[in-house]
Amino acid sequence: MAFPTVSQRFQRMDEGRFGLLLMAPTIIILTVFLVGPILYAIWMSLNSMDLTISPDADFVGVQNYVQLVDDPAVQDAVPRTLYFAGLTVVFSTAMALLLALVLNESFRGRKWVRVFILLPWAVAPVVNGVLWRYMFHPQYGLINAALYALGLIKEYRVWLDNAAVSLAIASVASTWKALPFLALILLAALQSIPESLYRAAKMDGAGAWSRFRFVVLPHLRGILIFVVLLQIIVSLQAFDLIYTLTRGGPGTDTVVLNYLVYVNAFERLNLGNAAAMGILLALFIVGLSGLSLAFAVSRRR
Amino acid sequence: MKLRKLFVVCADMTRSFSALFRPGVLYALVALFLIWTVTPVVWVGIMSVQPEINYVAVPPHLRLQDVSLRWYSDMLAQADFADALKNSVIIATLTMVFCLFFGSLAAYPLSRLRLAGKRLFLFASVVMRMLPAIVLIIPMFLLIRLLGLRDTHLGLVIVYTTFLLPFSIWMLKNFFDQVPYSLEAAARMDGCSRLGALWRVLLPAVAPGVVATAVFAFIGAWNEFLFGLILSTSVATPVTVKISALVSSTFHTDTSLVAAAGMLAILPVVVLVIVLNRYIVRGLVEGVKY
Amino acid sequence: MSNPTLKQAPFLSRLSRRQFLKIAGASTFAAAAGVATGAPASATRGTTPAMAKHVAKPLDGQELNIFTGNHHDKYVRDLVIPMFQDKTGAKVNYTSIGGGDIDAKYAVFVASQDGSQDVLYSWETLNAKYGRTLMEDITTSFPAKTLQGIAPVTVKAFTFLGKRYGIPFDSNIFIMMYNKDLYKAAGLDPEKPPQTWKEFIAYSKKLTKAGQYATLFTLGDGNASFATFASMFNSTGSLLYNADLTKFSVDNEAGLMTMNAINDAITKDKVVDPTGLPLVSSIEQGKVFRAGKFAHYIAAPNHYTLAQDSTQSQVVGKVGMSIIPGLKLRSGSLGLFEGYGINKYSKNKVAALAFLDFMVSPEVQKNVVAINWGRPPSRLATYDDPDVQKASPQFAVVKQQAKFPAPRYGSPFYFDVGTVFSNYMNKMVKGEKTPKAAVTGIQADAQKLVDAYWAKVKK
Repeated sequence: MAFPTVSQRFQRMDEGRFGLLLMAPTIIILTVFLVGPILYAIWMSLNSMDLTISPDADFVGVQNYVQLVDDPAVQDAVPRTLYFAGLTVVFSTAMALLLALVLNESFRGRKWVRVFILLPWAVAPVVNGVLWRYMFHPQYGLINAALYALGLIKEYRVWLDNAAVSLAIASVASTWKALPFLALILLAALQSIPESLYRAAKMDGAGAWSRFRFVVLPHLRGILIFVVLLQIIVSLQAFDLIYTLTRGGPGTDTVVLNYLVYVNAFERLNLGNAAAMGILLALFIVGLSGLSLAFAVSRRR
Repeated sequence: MKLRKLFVVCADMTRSFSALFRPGVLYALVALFLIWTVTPVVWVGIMSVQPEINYVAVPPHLRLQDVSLRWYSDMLAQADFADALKNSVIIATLTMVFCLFFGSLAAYPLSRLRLAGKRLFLFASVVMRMLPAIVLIIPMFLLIRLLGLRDTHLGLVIVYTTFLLPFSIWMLKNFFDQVPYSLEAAARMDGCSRLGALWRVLLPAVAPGVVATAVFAFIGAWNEFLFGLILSTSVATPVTVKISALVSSTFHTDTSLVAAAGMLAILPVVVLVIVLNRYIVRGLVEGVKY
Repeated sequence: MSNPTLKQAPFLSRLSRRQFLKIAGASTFAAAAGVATGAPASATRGTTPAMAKHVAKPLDGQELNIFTGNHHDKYVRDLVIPMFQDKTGAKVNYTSIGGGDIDAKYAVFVASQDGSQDVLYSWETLNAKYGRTLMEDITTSFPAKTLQGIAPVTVKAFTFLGKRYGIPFDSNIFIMMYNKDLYKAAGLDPEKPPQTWKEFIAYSKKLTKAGQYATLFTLGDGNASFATFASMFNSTGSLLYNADLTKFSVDNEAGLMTMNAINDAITKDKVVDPTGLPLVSSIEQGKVFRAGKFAHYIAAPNHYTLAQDSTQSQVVGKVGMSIIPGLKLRSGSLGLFEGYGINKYSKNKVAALAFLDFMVSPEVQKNVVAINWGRPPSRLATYDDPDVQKASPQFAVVKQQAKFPAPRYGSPFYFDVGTVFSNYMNKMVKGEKTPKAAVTGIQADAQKLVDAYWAKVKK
């Protein structure tokens, strides 16, 4: 009796084992390159590692975490982060929804518009920061030039000189980049709404706004929650953008929590503190996502 | 008065029921969105072909006769920048290939097979990506150095793949989920193996989705900055690091040159997106359902 | 009998090659030590080609990795390194990144104890921040004789708590440049720049009109704000820190005088360009200066060279320079001295030391630093060279300026203290804090940071 060939063995393998085999490379890569570094980062957060004094680590338990609560830099960063995340989420969700509604309708040139709309997706966050820095530049920004030409300002003004405006500009830049992806997945959901529902509503005398409220929105609830969640996570993790747009400035006015992790790790060279902050931020994001999901699920019921 | 109402009603009736905007409003919105989308890129594009004095002036006086591509040729003439562009292409392409390959291998069981711990895996991979990547820089650097992959294309590809794999798997799984099993069942009855069914039936069935995932992985790898900075020295430096170098430089740089560099840095990706736009849109719009 | 050719006697040739390498290795070490102990660096000039061929170069076969900012590309990479390779036979690998990205890289080097880069870019604050953990202590290994020929104020910048962690190759220091045409238009004598701060403000008021300001301050980040404050504070005759950097003093007459001067210039006299406040460096303002739209430019001296370049300047021949008018003393400024240090974990410190020595050799100081780069050299003797004096008239001003205090107070907490300054100063110019409140606040916060650092060190 011949021994089974490799491919025959393969086929006869039961589902569980076969599935595990297929997933093995992914699991190996993620374990070595993701789980490993995360464990190391957790270890770092339990140590005091100040690189201006020595590269050695000093075990201090949860001291880093405790210190974070009283840290004025953290206390200053939290409201900024909430402001930035809030602006980004609201602005990007609203715009994405509007764009999706527009793209859902048929009009001449729709195919071309869809091509152009994809442009921001192709721009790297590093370059995105440069684009918007140049748009709002005090000396050669387009915004200044346009407002001046329209007579709305008498003199070129500096835009990136305070926290509120700078973070708002960062929000705009972040929204600009996220719009294509968000609008397209909203469009996907929109296109799954059967035409008959609109027709029924129209027959009942519903105007455009009513049709939107009672036909479109209920269908979009799930995907909208997803979009909001995604934007919360993205804005809490924004780094490249702020690095090239403001470098955390003016002063430390645009240092949001994720950027503060960078400042602590690479400018103040306090690795343990930075690791603790990063992990707390991750837990915060997980918690926030969990809460939003729970909220969404309960509402549905 | 009555005629007007009749006209409106007729016009209304010829439009589809799902149309929520009046044509005038619709076209206005389309125009606004187009302007919003292309303006930053167009402005920096203009900056990249004009000498700086033209747009530093208040108000800027751009003249067609000053248009020149010399900043582009200057930038490309710098060997390290041209190399960086090449590096980004190599790294992004390889990352895309790895993500598609390992991703589809992992998405298949997640979508089609009975497996213990499926939910756990998906949950864990999503949660792990919520950790700010900055915290992982030092351990990642130590790991890559240990493996001798420092400043190599492969090293960067592996790191980028690690970050992009979870979402790629999630996307592919979603696409797979929408294909009814009957297609593969038919193939299996014809004697096809499970893997064969994957390659020859399932993946082709979600081709636009695969393209969308591929583009997503390519762009994700191309855009990466911080890990590119830390894990490369001179050989495998990606173009995003060079852009930051120009912006954070401590000496006077011709702004038109920086603008040209920025344009060059996004050009390959923009071309990719334009060429594949039909598949991307189809993939995202038709492929992702809730 | 013919000598055995390599083909006929491979074993012999292999053996003799090994022996040769041993001898070469020993002589390399001796010769490199000779280079490092200050053997006349200009000796290679004038060797006949025939002689050069037979001389084994001191660092033959060795590899050196240099890591620096990309503003060194045109000079160090393109000029110094070929000369160094030619002279020593070493192979040099040059890597540069954006100056602002260097901190991130150095942090990783320290955390991973990475010695792959032998020579590291350094300046006063990097020197203090990484001296203990990344830079090699070269107080005793760098030849004292060479050090004596280098401007003391620059050497001091690379000395942290008595130990030397780097060697400066320039003595870049802020000076004042002004637009003579604008002076004439405002009715001021173009050959008489302001001698005191009061005069500076008075002249600036005359030079400020609609849409055009007389001068620029940068408060964009910690470094810029601290630099703005410190360069003026340095003209009061006081010092911000004591000798061992444990006591910070700004809440005093000198500090208040400085803060008031800055505040008045911006908010009361309004001679400062408000669009410049969020900037982090005055480099961009150089373009505006070269376009002739800016009267008083306080910046590095190489901007004088740039202003004389007709391809990018419209004020060629119209620029005057002088030392910066001071508050109490005649002048005070801020050092921007750059240099190189050696990586503590490097495996090739001998070659690295040779490179540091080469950067301050007469030929590099004259031909690259002074003439090509336009930077004031750190080697004092180079100032007396007639070619240098002709090419860079601003060095006469630099030499004068270097006589006045210009410390930058580099320390491991430099960045944190700078951030404190930036926060308070930005609030002050918006009217949210008085100068007195700013000074008191900075004093409290900064001293807290200083104390916290030294407490950590003691543990």
